[in-house]
Amino acid sequence: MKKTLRGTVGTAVVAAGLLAAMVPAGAASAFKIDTIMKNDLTLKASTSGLNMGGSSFDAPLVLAAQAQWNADNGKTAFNTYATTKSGTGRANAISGAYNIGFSDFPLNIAGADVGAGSSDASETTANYVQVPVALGGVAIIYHFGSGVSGTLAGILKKNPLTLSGKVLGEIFAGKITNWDDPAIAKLNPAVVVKKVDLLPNLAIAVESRTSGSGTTFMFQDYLSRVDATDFPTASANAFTKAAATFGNSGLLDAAVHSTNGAIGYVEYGYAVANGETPISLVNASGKTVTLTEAGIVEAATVGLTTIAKHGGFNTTSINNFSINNQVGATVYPIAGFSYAIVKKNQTDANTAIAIVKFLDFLSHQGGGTPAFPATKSSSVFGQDLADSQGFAPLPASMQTIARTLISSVTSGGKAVLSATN
Amino acid sequence: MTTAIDASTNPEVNGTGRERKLSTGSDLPYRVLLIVTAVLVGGLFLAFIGSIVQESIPGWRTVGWTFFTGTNWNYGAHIYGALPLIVGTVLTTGLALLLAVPVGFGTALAIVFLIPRRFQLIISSIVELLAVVPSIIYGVWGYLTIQPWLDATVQPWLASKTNGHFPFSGLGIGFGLMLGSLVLAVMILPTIAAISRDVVAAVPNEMIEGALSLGATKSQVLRKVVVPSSRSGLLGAVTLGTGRALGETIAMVVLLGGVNQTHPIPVSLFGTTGTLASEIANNFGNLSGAAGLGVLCCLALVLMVIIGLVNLSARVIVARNLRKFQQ
Repeated sequence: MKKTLRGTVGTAVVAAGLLAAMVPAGAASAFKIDTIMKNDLTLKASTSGLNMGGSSFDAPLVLAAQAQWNADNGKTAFNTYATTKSGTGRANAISGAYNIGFSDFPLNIAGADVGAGSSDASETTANYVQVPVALGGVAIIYHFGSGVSGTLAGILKKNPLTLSGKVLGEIFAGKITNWDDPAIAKLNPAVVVKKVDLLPNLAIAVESRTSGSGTTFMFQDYLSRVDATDFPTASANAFTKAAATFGNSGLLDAAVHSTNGAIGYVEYGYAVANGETPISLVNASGKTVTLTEAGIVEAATVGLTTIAKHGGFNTTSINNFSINNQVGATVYPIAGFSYAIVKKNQTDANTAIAIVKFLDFLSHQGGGTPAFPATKSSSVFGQDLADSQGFAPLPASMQTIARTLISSVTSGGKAVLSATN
Repeated sequence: MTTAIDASTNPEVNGTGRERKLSTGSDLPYRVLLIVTAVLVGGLFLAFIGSIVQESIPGWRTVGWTFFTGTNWNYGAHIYGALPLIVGTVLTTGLALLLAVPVGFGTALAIVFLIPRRFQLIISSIVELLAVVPSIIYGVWGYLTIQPWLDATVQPWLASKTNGHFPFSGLGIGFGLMLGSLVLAVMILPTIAAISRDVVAAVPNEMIEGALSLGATKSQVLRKVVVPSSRSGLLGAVTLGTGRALGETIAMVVLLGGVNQTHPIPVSLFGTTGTLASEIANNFGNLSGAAGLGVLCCLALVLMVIIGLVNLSARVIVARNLRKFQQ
């Protein structure tokens, strides 16, 4: 895994080169680490009790990064990441209940979070900084339960259950309702033994997240690209044909495991943590791919070139941040970036320092490159933990974009990271 | 403070004989203290209701009457039809009571009248212990143990026995009305049993012995003497159980599976649903601004009204019983 990963990250870096040009010119060149250092960015001992939370998609990565950051700093500035959902992350970033809110899609993308049409018309998205902090994939998980024959279990171990985007869409739209549907057998020739479909005659129970889930948005954005009839637009609303809905990824994951015939979706990290084999998908190139970190990296690599064609990365329109359903033999088709959302102008300077330092730590890799002075002793940064937590490291170009965005956070009208200081 | 003293000299408060007996000079500080606490509780209650009403006003402006008639609850699209939640609240609590009341009363009568004395203490302690188990623990138990059992064993069996007809129609996935009310019943059972036990134990021995001496059988004594004479107390037990069931939140969040969009009003015991309380918890972080939080306060207010109505009707029934008893 590691080796192939390095290779693909390499390609990602090449692609990133193309993208570096798209980062606002003044921004990218002005931020040399040593000049940034001019601000006193010492984490004050009194800075504590700050809150962050939201997206359960991000939870495995942020929790691991937070533990590392706390250990490195020898203090706890932030309370433990509150695993809820993206909707909560955005709402609480706006209300101020979270100093950092996490969401798998930016503000005002699916419904109005701020400004006209929202409950707070006075605000605009320009008052917020939305930093890409995670790159992950959506795992489609299922459970047949006790009714499955030993033969079928053996076959599925060697040939993971495979679905195409269209069939997946029809299942989640409630059109395909039984696991023995011919459309499913057709995609899984190995389960048809002597012309008999071994897949169980078992009703499919679609289990969804409650409305406001960023994982749902990422998944529905994918479905809208492969099954536009059933999913004309991406939304974060619960699937209307869902048999049951659950408040966060952990609950949904466990519910799928305990319900015969269930199908659901969670971030790859949950599948990794639970040792599950997610459903393999037929990607845009017609190739069957299992969910791997390399497949997510490839999705980002190709995805960033697609984004470049749309005018470069930004958080204002789907085509400028979505990397779903990319063309490429090894691309895993459901992947995306997730964002940390903070108020652009921070009222408290010390809070701002903690936020800026943590976000920079989270969105970067340490290693050889001199990274921002979040920590002195450790070379392990947030994105170095991606591998073990079921995420892929952010491509280098996205790390650059992240730093540019982080440096736009101000306190008292002054940039927290200032080249001129 | 002055209002408190004014209240203490209020002729209405001092009207009854018992009040007058207390009003000796040395008791004055106690009187003041007690009245202050009473006023404080009353004031707190009014302030609390007042603030919920006030906070809910922007919510009512947003939702209007569709709050009570709409069947779609989708905060993302700012559609707030709370009918499924009101129905879900009433249904889960009603079904739970249906299961818990007979068993609770039965347990109470058994503990007091049937079980040998040395086992009474053991059973009583178990019931009391169950009554104080935090509801999240019941929720986790339902989620981990009961749901898979319902999904894999109970619901397929029920569906096959009824050919998937009412009330066991549709896809059984374990989660939903059946799981929620079952766990809710287990949750309120000890409350009902423990209070009922105290109530029936308080029935005067003379009445029981009198009935027995007239030749009544044990079951006649229970049915004709014990239950009728402790009716208002038993009703109190049910009311407390109902209150706990109506307000139960976290267990319902994980067990009910959420309002089903095809059947927002459940048509089967296998159906999923939500309650007012569970939806407040589900949406708490999602809704912001005066209108969004106002809608949550609308839910809270409706729940308060339902619980208030339950308490009020219990009081009316008790008062009527008492009058009958006194005649």
